Amino acid sequence: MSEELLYFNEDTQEQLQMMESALLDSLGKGASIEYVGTIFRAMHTIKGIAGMFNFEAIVSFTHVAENLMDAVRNKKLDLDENLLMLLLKCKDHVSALVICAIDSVAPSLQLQQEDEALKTTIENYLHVSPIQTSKQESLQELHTSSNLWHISLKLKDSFFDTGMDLLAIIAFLKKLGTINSIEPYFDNLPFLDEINPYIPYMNFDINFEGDVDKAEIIEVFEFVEDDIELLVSALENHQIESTQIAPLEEKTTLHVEVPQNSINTDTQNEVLIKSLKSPSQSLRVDSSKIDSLIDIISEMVIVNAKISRHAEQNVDPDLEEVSLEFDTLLEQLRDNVMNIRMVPVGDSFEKFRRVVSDVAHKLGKKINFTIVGGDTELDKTVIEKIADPLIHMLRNAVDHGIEMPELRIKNGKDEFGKVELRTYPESGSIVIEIEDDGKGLSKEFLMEKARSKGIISATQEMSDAQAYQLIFEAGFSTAEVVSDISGRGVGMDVVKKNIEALKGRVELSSIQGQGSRFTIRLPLTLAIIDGFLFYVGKTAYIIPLDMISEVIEYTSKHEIKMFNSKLFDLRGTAVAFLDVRDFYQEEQCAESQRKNLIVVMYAGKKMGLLVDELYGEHQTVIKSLGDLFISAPALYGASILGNGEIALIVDIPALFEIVNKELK
Amino acid sequence: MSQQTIEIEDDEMAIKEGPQYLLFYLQSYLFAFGANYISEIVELPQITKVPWMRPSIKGVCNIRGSIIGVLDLSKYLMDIDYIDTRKSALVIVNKDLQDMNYKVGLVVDEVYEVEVFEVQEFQEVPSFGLPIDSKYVASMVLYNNDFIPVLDLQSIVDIELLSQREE
Amino acid sequence: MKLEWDTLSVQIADELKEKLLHFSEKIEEIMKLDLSNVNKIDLCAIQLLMSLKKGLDEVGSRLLLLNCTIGVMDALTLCGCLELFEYEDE
Repeated sequence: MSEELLYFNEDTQEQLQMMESALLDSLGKGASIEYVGTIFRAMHTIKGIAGMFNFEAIVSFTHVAENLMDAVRNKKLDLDENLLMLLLKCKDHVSALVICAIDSVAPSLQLQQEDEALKTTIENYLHVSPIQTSKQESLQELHTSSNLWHISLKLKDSFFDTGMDLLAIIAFLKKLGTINSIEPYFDNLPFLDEINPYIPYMNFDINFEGDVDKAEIIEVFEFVEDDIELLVSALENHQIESTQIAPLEEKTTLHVEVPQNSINTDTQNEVLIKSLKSPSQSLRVDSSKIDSLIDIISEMVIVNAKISRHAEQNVDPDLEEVSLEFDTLLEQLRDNVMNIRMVPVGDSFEKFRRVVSDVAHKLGKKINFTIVGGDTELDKTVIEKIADPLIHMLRNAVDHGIEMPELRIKNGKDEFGKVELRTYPESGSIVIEIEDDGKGLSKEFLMEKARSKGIISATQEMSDAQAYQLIFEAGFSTAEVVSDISGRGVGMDVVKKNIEALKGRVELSSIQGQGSRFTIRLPLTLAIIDGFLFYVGKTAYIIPLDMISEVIEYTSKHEIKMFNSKLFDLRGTAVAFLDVRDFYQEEQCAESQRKNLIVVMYAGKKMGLLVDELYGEHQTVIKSLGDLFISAPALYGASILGNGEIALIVDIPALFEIVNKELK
Repeated sequence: MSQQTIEIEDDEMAIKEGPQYLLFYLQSYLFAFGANYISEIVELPQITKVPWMRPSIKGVCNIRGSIIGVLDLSKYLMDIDYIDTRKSALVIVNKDLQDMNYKVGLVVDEVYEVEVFEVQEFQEVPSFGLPIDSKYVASMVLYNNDFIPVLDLQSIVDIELLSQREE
Repeated sequence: MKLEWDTLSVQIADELKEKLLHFSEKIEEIMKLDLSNVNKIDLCAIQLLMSLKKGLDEVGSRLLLLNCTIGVMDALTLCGCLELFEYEDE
């Protein structure tokens, strides 16, 4: 593909993606002027660039589609569900035309017929139904999602009496997003000799950016709501519309001046800016190129270790110094390279909207699908691999979770089922949650099902957590009738396997009648962790640092003198320990002077690992041990240390599993 | 990863035409296998033991930033551990010719020579009487009046089999 | 002048006001208020400082906050008042 065509492809794909997002959001939350604009611009832009390449078929079709959107823009047409579905088809059609153009093949007969049919339908729309609709902005005010908010705070005289510190509240607000600016205003602040120190004379204007809805912001001020006057409004900023990136870039600076006239407190005109958020600029790089970069850096680290040793042997402090500097630079370089692999999940999660919308449409269900935390970063390869399991779970949520609209209304729920895809970081891992407010699952139902499928015996008792894990068993399907949506064959067991292949864990929690939640925990990256290095015998081992709760020297006071005891005394509590030397069959070398216990924690359980020497924190580049070592127990991979030695990385969750089995 | 090819002296090439074979010692016996599998030959590096593997899997080593599994050919074929001498070497081979990315290191006691053998020099493998399991021997070749077994690397480097623990 | 409190808050608003009034009695070109002991400050106290500054601005005197701790700087940042004061470390 020529470079120009590549640009053409990228540009059109970007426009089509924006168009699709706008269409799907309109379907979910109702149309708004902003969406109409986005859709119109997409068609218009594609027409323009296709024109430059003389792609007649695209130009002629987008021209018609653009006319249609123009009519909507001028309020001659109402953007109702039928029209939105038609526009989705148009989007797919343009997408197909673009592929033909790039491959320089003529559109197939089928595509030509589709072209004609769509054009005819559009013409009909344009001529037959120039209806006058009283256009209602169907925005649910409280649940408007936006990225930019203006918060105006007036402190009432009573404010200081509440004992609440506004600073703490602002600090909390900051956790939800970014405070772009905060401006204090002093209303006739008296001089010191006249001031009543118990009365506030201050007000604040805050420009806040965050993926939250209005209700969430109001909630922040809940405790002081009687003592302040609070005004929260989505920020309509025309600057953003035209330049798209510039104002959003200045996130971190304080006192970003936002012109007063751009603040629109009139909720009628509240506009969703979200879809305008510029797609992150990106460069496509084959990930194997990054891998080879990392390999080279690892080699450089080792070579540098040799230089350092050489300098030491020859007593050359200058060279040693240089080598040390070089080491720091290499570390930075590696971090930067690692960062290349990290991308926001939002870009690829946006595609799920279509999936959810299609399934919902097919089943006649109404879904309000939201994506939260789209800017959370995750290793690109992980995102790619998690997509299929997520799609499956989302389909499941819509298909089996959410009830039909009539039933929902009957049960006193909103007719729109809520499905939320949330992503957030949590101590060294990334959590992805899929939550629906559908019918939920009961423990009894799951156990009954499992019994009937012969997965558990008739008398087996289970805890709630165990029962909910049943859904991931092979041969377990909660669908009474296998529908064509959730598919045949692929069960939740496959989903679980896929997630485990990524070193992740998945669990389900659910309340009958209220909904279900799948929680997936994934390591931040498959490539690098903060590790803790230690030796057992001659072998170096590494444990992910965030699994470690403490490290203690093993002395006689920890011993528990019990027959065959595998327990130790941790401040009065008996905790199981594992002698890593025994477990990993390390040779019994001369008894080392000190024994240490690394106390690791996983899923609320503690275990001590008896090891020899501790070496402390270590930035660990994870490498696979390869297929040859696939059955090596509880090993996550390996890492190359600065001196070229290899350290084995211990897979703590797997270790817990093995130890638990052995104890039984 | 730079690939080190085995240097062949030109005059030798002139005499014979045919595939190259690596000749090496295991416990003072000569063996051979096809040189086309070889990615490089290095001095025996430090090996990190990986627990719970079969005895012939010695562990992993670091070949310029790549982690490579190490198979002790001597242990695998003759059930005698290799002896680490200055002549010990690690022959790194591609698992098969198609998959250039999966490499395994084979410990040999000494690399002897790279030799070209012509088709007519090969002999059929007798089904018994061999010092090692005949399924690992592809053919025999006469070299300096001695028969050398030519190993079948495909069947030796069977990752699936090697990765299983010996019960 | 040096403030001896660890926490400047609404609880000591009256005392703080008196102290600051006392401080502002003797007007100098540069008025230095040492906050090195103060680790926490709330909005009420910040307001008093603002009021003090307003009075000093009026008579053309500069208020310098000395040796501000991280706690104080953080609080001033949070409420957008950081740039309203001048600072110096001794």
